[in-house]
Amino acid sequence: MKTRDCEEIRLALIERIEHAQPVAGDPNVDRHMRSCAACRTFAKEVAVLVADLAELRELSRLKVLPDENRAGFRRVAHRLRWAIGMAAVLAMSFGLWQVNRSVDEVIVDAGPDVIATPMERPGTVVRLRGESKEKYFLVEKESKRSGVRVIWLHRQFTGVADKDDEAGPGHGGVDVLKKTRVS
Amino acid sequence: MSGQNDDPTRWGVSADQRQRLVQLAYRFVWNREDAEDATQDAIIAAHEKREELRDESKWWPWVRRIVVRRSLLVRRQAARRRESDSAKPWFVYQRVADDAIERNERLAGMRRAIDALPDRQRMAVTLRYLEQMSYPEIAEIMELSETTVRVHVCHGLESLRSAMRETEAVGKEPGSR
Repeated sequence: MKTRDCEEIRLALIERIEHAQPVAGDPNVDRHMRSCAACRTFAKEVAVLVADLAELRELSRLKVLPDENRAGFRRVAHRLRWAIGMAAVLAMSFGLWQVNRSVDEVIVDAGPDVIATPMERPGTVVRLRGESKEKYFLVEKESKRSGVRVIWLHRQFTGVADKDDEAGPGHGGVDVLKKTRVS
Repeated sequence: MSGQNDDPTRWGVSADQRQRLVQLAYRFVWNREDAEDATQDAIIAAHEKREELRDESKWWPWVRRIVVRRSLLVRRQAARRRESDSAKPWFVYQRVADDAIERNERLAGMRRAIDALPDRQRMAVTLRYLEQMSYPEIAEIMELSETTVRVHVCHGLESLRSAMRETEAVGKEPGSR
């Protein structure tokens, strides 16, 4: 049965258990413990409880979120979100422009095999599909009489005459490769 | 809360101090969201009542005291909310402190046994063993003498011991829903 002595002894026991000291050692405590089974049980169970509480303490430790509460961090995060958003918009715009451009490259103005867009001006160096090097350039002529624009694609002179060559090898250093009439 | 109220420096509490206060509150409410709310309310209350604090050196224990009181209040409100929602499926409203704790049945039972302690015992045990505060620190927060705090700790451990013993005997956790 718990007595007034038990209260004092238990406070002393808790102190010892908390400081990981052996329960025995103090003559008063030792004397009481020998005669009080309740306090002996108390000492054993409290030692287990304190160990469990230490485990609970570790498990209930909150994970620190990365500077989540700092105003500076929030400002940076806010700007970062904006920057990522703007970059995404720009990337999408560029992508769409590229898609449109590649569609335009199936050129109507310069013929189906020519990689060039309607925006290309005369003199622009272009290439043919399936060829890696840009060795042709556009020449644009306009018939004032019919109002029909004619785009000529010239190739840099290689010394071999093309059958479509108007001026013949050596003329101006170019071959006429293709003529396309554009209305 | 948002905007200016989120700025910890505005209320004289650093991010690190705020984190410690949230951890303290969490040990009473066992829910991060409630702990954040309790802490925020306590920081604002502390700021508003700052004039009442004569000794600036007592500021930190004073703020912690407000956080503990606020947390107990939040906990009681949460308990009432749970009672009023008792007809609904329990698992929806169960506040889980940590998966790891839930996995460990004994510790989960202990957590619920701590929750069931009378306020003073609960404060004393929580601050001593979960927050690892010294007896003088606890005495300051609870506004009691050190000896009284020791007695509350002792009684708290005795109550916990009986609760855990019952749990093991019956095979049922105390305060289980």
